[in-house]
Amino acid sequence: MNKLTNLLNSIPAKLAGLLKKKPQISTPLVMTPQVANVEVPPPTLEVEPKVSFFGKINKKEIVILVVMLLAIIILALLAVVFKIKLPIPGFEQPTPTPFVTPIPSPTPVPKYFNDADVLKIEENTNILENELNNIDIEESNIQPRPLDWTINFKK
Amino acid sequence: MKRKCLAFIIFLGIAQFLLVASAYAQSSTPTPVFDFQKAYQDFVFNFDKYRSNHDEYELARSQYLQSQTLAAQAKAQEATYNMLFARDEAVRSYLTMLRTRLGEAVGVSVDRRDFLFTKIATEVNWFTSHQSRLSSASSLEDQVSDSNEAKAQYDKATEVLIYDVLTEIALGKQYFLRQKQITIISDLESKLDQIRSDGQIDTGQIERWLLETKNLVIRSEGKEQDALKLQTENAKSKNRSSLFNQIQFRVNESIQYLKDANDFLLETIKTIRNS
Repeated sequence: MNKLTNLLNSIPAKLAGLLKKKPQISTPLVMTPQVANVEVPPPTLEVEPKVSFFGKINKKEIVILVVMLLAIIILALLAVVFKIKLPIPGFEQPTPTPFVTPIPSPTPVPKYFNDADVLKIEENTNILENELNNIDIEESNIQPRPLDWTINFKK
Repeated sequence: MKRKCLAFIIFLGIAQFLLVASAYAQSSTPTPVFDFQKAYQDFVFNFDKYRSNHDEYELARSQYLQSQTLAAQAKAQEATYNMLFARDEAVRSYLTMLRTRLGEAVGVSVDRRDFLFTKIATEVNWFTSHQSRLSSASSLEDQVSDSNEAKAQYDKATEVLIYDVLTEIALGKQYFLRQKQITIISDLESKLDQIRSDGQIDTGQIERWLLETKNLVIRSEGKEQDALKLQTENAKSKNRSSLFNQIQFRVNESIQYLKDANDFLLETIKTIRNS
């Protein structure tokens, strides 16, 4: 506790010492003419300017970083949109065997395939087939109906 | 004099107008067509009427047999007259319906059709005449006699004619279809001659198939002959309905041969097209 008190008490003295020291501030790179016997005014005390995090990094690097991030995001979006299947390590997809579509060789149409006479005969045969299948020989509606021909008045 | 002339001119004008109007009415009114459908409707109507009158006759008869009163007898006479009249009408309308059906039938020769038309007309006339002889005033015994007379005519001539017409219609159908098939075979043979002369296809097998097809047509004709042979027994038969069933069976067999022949034809045509 005493140590802490002493430490706190010694802070002002240390600060005063520090102020007396020549501040190690980088002077601006301004070429001052070396004139002899010219009184150089005593350097004024300058407080160290606050430097931001980005201040320490080159602007070019920031731009490159941003561009790379954007490129990654765009690529990721494209991958989602087009459902690009990334190869899973360890599960290599079998490479598809090249499928060669056989090109049908043009077969010659038989001579009588589209012959008008043959087609006409086929059409007539089909019509006859239909008529044979739908023929009604019985015609039950025109068969004679039962009539009572035996009348009498005997018990 | 002037008035008379004027009246005469007006009269002429009106007369001309009426003549033109009546002529126009005659030309615009379509003449009713008495076809099979109309004749069939008439027959169904008359047959229903006969059944209704027959029910009334059965009731009046049983009442008369129970009571034996004069009133019941009079009622029975009237009911019997109505039934006999309706029965004759039913036969007449049936024969008329059959005539229209025969008129529309295919495959029946003109001579045979005319012969049957004449016979139908004779039968219709007989029943019309019989109908006119009926009277509600006749005694029950006379009515029984009238009924027996109609029964004899129906058994002797009318029923024979009915089954002759029905057989003719059935045979005409299969004859019509067979003729169509024979025409197709003939067309195919002509085409086959042309194909043979082209010399690009070996027609040997196709010709053998056609021969088999023609054999089936010959078998079909055989079944038709069987049916015609049965038809000659029609007049003597005691059960014409049963005989007609046998005829129908032969006709159906004939049709079956035609169906088989048609299948052969379709296969033959397919082979020609793909050769």
